[in-house]
Formats: sequence, C-alpha cells, structure tokens
Amino acid sequence: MDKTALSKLATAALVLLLLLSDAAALLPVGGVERADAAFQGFNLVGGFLRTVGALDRRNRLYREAGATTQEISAYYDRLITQAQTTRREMIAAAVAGGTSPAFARSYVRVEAALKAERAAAIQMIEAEKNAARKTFERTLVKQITNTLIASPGGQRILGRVRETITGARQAAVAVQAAADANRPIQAFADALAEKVGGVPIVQEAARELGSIVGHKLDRALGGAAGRIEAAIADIQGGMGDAIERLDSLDAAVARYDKQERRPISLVEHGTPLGNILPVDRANPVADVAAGAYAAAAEFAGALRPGTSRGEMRDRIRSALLDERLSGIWNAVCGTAAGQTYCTSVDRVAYAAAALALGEPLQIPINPDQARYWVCYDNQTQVPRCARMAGSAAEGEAAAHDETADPEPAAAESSPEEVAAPPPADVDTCTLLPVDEDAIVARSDVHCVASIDALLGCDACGSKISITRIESAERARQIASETYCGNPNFSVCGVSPIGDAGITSTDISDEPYRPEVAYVFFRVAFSHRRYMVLIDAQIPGKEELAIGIGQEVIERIEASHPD
Amino acid sequence: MKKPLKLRVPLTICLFALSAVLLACNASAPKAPTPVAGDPDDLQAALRAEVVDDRPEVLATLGRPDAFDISIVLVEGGKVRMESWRYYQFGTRVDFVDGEAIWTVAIEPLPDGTLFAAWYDPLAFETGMTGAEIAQMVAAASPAGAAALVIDLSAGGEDLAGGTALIGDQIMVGLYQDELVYVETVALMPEGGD
Repeated sequence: MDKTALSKLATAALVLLLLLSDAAALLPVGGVERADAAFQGFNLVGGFLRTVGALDRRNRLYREAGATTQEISAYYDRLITQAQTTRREMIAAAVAGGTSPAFARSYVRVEAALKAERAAAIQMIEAEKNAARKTFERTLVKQITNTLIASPGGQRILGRVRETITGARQAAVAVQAAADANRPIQAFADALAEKVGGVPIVQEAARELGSIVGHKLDRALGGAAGRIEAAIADIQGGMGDAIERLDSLDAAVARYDKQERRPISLVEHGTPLGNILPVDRANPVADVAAGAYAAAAEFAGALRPGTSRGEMRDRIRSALLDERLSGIWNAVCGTAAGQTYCTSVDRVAYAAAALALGEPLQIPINPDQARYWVCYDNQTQVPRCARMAGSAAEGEAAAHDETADPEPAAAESSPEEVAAPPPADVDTCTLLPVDEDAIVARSDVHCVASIDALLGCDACGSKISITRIESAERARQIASETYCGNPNFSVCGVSPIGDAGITSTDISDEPYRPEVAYVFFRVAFSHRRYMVLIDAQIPGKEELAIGIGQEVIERIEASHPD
Repeated sequence: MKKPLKLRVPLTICLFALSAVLLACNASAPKAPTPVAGDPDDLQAALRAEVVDDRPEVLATLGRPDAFDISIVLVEGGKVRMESWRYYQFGTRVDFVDGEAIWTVAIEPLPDGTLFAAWYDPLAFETGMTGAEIAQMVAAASPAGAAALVIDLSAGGEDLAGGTALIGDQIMVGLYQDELVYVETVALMPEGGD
C-alpha cells in the first residue's frame, strides 16, 4: 500500500471512528428502553411471588397462561404509559421553565422498573407451561394459602377486644348490683375505672386491624368507655344503658370473630386499575394527603353541596400547602397535624363553624380587613376550630383573649379605619331562659349556657348559645348554613321555629365522637338579628329543645317591642 | 507491491458510503428537546440521582396503610424500590419509587369484616435486609408473635434457584440469595364477600 492510499484509508477510518463514537448521541433519546435488558434471578423471585400470590384467583380458577399474561401485560402497560406521559409532561414543563427537570427522573426510574417487573412476571407465567413447575406451584399455593388462613394476629386482637368488653361489663354489673342493693360501691367503681382505663390500649391494638374493622372497633370502644364514664356519675340512670352498649359491642365483635375468611392478595385485587393521578412533585405530601382527604370526604358524604371531589382536593391542598399557617392554626386550635386542615373562609362559613362549635362569634373592628379561618376534620369535614384574624371589637377581644390574632401585621387597622361596634342593646344572656349559674361564657353580643338542668340530665353537656349578628339577613344566612353533621350519622331537617335554620338528629346511637356523632339533637335558627343554637346531648329531648328555643324567641320579642 | 486501483476505489467508496449513512442517521434523528440540566430522560442519570423520601411524611399524615407491597427490582445493575400503600378509608393507593410518591390510584372498597395486617410498618422493610433480620422483625410485629414459615423456592426450577419465601402472619416476603426482594401484606376477607 503506498503512502497516499494509506493516508486516505486512515482519514476515512478516523472519520468513521469519530462518527461511531458520537453515534450514541445521535440516536433518539431512549435511555428507558435499555431497561429491557436481561433480568436476573433477583427480579424473578419477586415476579414469581407476585404471580403465585394471586391466591384468590388461582384457588377459584386456574387460568390458562395466555389469559393471565394478557392481564399482567394490561396492568403494567397502563402504569408504564402513565409513567411515560407524566415524564413527557414534566420535561415539557421543565423546558418551559415551570419546574425542575429532576422531577422527571422518578418517572424514568419507575418506567424502567415496571418494564423489568413485567418481564419477570410474564417469564414466570410462561414457566408454568412446564408440567413440573405447575405441580410445584400448586403445592406451594396450597401451602401459602393454608399458612395465611391460619394467620393468628387478627384473631388475637379480636380476642383482646372481647376480653376487655367482658371485663368492663362484669365490673359495670358489679357496680350496678351494689348500687341497687344500697351497698358501698367505691371498690366496685374503682375496679370499673381500672377496666375502662385499659380501653385505650385495646383501642390502639384494634386500629392495627386496619380501616374497615379496626377503626370501627376503635370508635365503638371509645364510645362504650365514654358511656361508662358518664354512667359512673349517674349509676341509676346510666349504668344499665352502658351495660347494654357493651353487650351490643360484644355481639358485633363476636360476629367478626366467628367469620370464616380467606386470604386475598390486594395486588391482584387492584386490577383493573382505577383512576391514576400523578403526584405534584413540587408538593408531594400535600398533594397525596389532599387527594386522600377529599376521597374520604366523598365517601363519608361530607362534600359540601355544589363541591366536586376535585374542588375539595384543591381546597384542601392549598390549605395544606401553607405550612406556616397550618402550623400556626394547629397550634392555636390545639389540633394535631394530620387530623385537620385549616383554610381561609368567608364570614358566613366562619360564623357557621363558630356557632357549631359553641364558640363566641368575634365581631371585627374593620370587616373589610378581617380574615377568617376554620380548621376542618380531614375525614368528616366537621369544623374543629374557627378563628378570626383581625382586631376584634373591644368587648369581644377582651372577652376572648385566647383568640388573639396570630397575624397582627396582616390585619391591623388604623384608628381612622375603625368602625363603630354594633350596638350592645341588650345583654344576650337575659334572652336565655336559664339561671345565672348556668351561664358558662358571655360577652356583649354572645352568651352560652348549660341547659342540662332544663333537659333533665346531669352533666351530659347540653348547651344553648345566642349571638347577636350584624343583620337579620346575615343571621338567616348563618342559621341556614349551620353544619348538620355527617350525613352517615345524622339527618338534617328545617328548623320549625325562627326565621330560618336547621335541625340535626343523630341516628348513630353513639355518644359524641369526632368521627361519628356530633350531638343527639341540634336546632339552629335565627330570629331577627339573633342566631340561636341548642345542642341536646341525650336522645328524646327534641321537643324540650324546641320549647326552649321558642321561649328564647318570646324573650327576644319582649326585649324588642318595635 | 502497490494495490491495484480497482481495489482502492471500492474501499474508499464503501467508507464514504458508510459515513454518509451515519450522517444521514444524524440528520434524521429526532431533534432533541431544548436541553435541560443533566438530561432528565437518561436512565443512568435517573438511577444515580438523589431522591427525596416522601414516605415518612405520608406515614405521619395518613397513618399506617391498611396494606402494602414492596418490589425491589434490578435495573441495569441498580436497585429500584417500588411500593404501593393502600388506604381503604381514603379509597386511595399511593405508589412510591425509591421513596418518592409518584401517583395515587383510586381503589375500590372491600367488604365489612375484612381484616388487614396494619401492624406492619412498610418503612421497617429496608432494602438489603437479610432473611434472618426480616423473620425476626415480622414475628415481633405480629400481634401473636407468629414466626414465619420458610420455603425454599429452588425446587421450582433453575430460574428460582437462590429464592426463598417467608410466609408469616398475613404477610409474604421474597428473598433472593438472602436479600429482600419482595413484600406483600395480605388481607383476610370474609367468605362470600367480593
């Protein structure tokens, strides 16, 4: 070969080498495709357990490999498509400057991992065509099923719950028998208190059974314990009822205890896939929690009228996102993060929440600058706390220091802007048909009193409140929007008295528990500029409560002869 | 000896033709999107990227899931951990990859009387755990202190050699060469309830 030819050959080879070395960069962006590389035994064990673990399906009908392969492919294809779509959207958003490109990386990883998992699962299904493998799997599935059916944990917890109920019942019967025989009850009451004191530990154990049985038993145990505690103060009137409650609870647990069950793989139960919503990687936890709470609110029938699940999700999400305010309000309200979300509301929603909570309404010095916040229970949407951010009119602010503005800078008003407080024409407490010693809170425009004595119960927590509102129209609006309770546990009606309002009758037969009953009977109504709320905490007092409300109306009329 | 011209010409033509083909590939390759730092679409970069573990905060916010499954998968030599947490009271399944919440999936309710094994904590199953560590942890978490049954999967065939299953109190765990690869908690559903 001469020098010229050699030179030409070397040049061409160099060009070729350069082109080849750069070729990878020229290929379409496709890093994810490389995930289909051969997978090792590492992946196959997971794929095998995932497929043989589909116990329910296989116990009923041992399907042909083809059908199962199709199902597995369909399941993974949907998730892989979702990962690809989300990745593309995130990259597009990053290119547009909206988000960090790093957000897309999770979806690159998950797409590759899903492809590897799909390949492993399909290989395991294909392996079933081998007769020896099929025999091995059948034996294994039986062994796994028998072991899982015999899982003792759930039964052990149910047993503990029943033991606790039985112990509490025996102690309650002993107290009742001693009281009936006019014998000293102290020793029996101490024994009962000890039994009731152990209930929270069993409640905690019950929660480990999960949200279907466990949470239900947790609530019921709490309700029974509350009933016993109330009965200790009123043995003659309440202990029989508490014992009945324990019997009823024991019967419910016994039903769970005796049920025949079979193990079910929730992995297989997840097919076909439901609606998939990508998480906002900029605020992942708030996004996940908002979606979950909105779903729970929908299940509980607690979505507000005219509000969709998506709107509720957005509202909860924006509330959760404001971590600073969330922390402040959870501190102010004494609520635990994770149980409530706090959000800004208008004055009507604030007033409805405050009145539902039996809290005094604060009147702002400057209504235009006041801001209102309510913390709602995540699951039930029951208001847990209502606060006004802004300077309150003098009488109110002085009366309720605990509601001091946590954000003074945001709502301070200058002296020039201060509006005159509403006229304190009558002492609102004089409008309530109660003795002075029944009044538990008062201010110029608000009064709260216990009505246990009027309803014929002792320390059951029934109360009445009256609040003077800015106008009759606003009072009607607030009364109409008063929270009626979780519709799964209460029935809402129209108040038979006053200008406007609601009644709420509990149908759960549970004592007050945040996730269950609100009150046994509530009537909330407006009359003129007054908003009245009556909560009866024991059943069968509806007529009495309405009668008390009627008397308040008469007192309002008498004090406003115009 | 000088190479004949009839041999040099085809060689040069071939080289140029190959170069032309590669150049054509270059021209016809899809135009890459506007570059973003560190090419987010690259798998190797994605596998190396730092991750944010959302799981502790989700656990603190929503509580322990009713049920969960964990798969640890080898992808190009790197381990990717995928997990799904199911919350039936919220009708929601939350999926994570390497701890990052990626999406939620709506799930259907299960019948009354279904018992979950919510005594297990998904965070307790750490990548790289051995069979002995898991067996001890699973027994300690069980309300009845139930020990797991150990099943050697090697008898199933060569492809399962090195595989072990631990079947415990409403839980299945998979190990490959004594390393955690799979976890699934199992519900007990009342007979007749679907």
